[in-house]
Amino acid sequence: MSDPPRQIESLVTDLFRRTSGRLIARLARRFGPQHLALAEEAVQDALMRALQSWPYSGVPDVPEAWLYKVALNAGLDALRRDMLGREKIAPTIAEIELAMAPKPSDVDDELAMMFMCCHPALPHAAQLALTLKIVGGLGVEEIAAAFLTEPATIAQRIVRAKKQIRDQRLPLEVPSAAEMPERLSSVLDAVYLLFNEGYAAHSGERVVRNDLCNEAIRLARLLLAAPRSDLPPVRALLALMLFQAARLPARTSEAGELLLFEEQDPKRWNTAMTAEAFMHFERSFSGAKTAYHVEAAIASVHAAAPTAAAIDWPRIRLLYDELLEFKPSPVTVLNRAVAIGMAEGPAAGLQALEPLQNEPALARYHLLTSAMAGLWARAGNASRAAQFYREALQKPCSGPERRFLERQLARCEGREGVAFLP
Amino acid sequence: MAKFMVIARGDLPPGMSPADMQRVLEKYMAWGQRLGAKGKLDHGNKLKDREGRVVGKVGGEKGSKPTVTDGPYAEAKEIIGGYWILEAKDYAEAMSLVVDSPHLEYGTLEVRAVEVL
Repeated sequence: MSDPPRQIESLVTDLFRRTSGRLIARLARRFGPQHLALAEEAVQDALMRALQSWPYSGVPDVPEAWLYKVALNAGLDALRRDMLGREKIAPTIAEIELAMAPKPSDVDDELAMMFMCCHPALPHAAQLALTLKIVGGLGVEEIAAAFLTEPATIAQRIVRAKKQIRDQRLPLEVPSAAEMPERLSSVLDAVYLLFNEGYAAHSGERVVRNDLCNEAIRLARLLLAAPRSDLPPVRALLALMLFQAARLPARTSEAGELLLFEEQDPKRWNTAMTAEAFMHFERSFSGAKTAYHVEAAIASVHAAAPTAAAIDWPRIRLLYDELLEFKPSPVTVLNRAVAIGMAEGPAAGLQALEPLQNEPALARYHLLTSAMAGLWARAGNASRAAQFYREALQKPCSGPERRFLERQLARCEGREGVAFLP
Repeated sequence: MAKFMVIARGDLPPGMSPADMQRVLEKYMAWGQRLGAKGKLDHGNKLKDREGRVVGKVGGEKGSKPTVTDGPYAEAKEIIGGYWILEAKDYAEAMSLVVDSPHLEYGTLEVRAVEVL
């Protein structure tokens, strides 16, 4: 390392995770999707070799090219070993080496991998696990932690999905323009789920998992990088995620505690990200409207308000009415009721929550109960509010969420010194 | 300013995810960068894995032919991964440069002053 202070950090930050997905995609495309596991191992090998040598010799000038070369050789070696004793595997080494010459763009490889991992034939949960593992470079343990599942469950999902890919010969290709809208919607669903998983982690100590949010944003950008998948719903979804991600730094206190919107420091909002969100949002309206458009519109109303008091709640309420047509889910009804409560007063909000009382999907969902508590508190009925906060605390939630609810409860019970809101 | 050779023994755990490896690499790089910024790092090199020869004379008898064997490397913890050459004024300084090396999580570092006569 003759020149060690080179900008190592910018070179290496996130390099392995980003590169691993890209390289697996490149190799799997050349070796054929039936050799997905082999491509993964070859890339794993290359990363390990890098990890064993770069600490001594420094990061090579073009780290990705270094990794690609090492992974390719490891993959070819493994293929040759595989071929010993067998008549012929398709494609043969010679064919692969031939195919190496005119290489499609990396973006194309990674997109193809994304479309394969999110193929509609695969179960939703498997799509997410596979995308995170192969495209996102996350480990089984990390994926399990993100989805509050056992690592063994995730590992099994991935194994089954890979088997299904082999058995059903799911293609490792960017879909044609004709197939694109349907295939894209499946990919966008996965990206959206991924973002939500990061945005509102349901347990653990961190309420926001930036890794997952950033990965979802990266995947959406990737879709925009190829003309075939640069379509309006992608821009709407990216805008939605950027609007929300721009607020992430302000959503928790320095101590990692969850903050109410009114308590957030607007100086900690990421204005560049908001500006980018508005740009994509404006360019998302050339085709059919989707739920992402409506959700992005809701987020844009929040983003346009300089303070909590300036939020245009009646407009948000109307947008939720519209969203209900696209997504008539209990969660939409819940969010709409909160908007109604803000626009028309707590009594109207509580009335709008009425239909959800016996909704089984929300039975274990603390947000319904805490929304009721919040509305009762605003209606001036502290004892009803406290009752619902206590009930909400019985349901599963993350550490910061729990402490947030406890503080609200203490406030309703009039315990001084622990008051959270001024 | 004297030169010190830092020999790194040990091996990384198997089965790390790319994200795990990323974290480990960043620690090594940050360490190297700190040393480099202080002008304390001359250079480093990785040694090739799983090869090497040991040359010796069996029994040490006068006139016997040297024998060459493949590297012994019986145990993973004995494997030398690579080395760095550091600049330091004495052992105390050299030690202060390596105590925070992330390598200590995976193995040992042997620090030897290069003798200049």
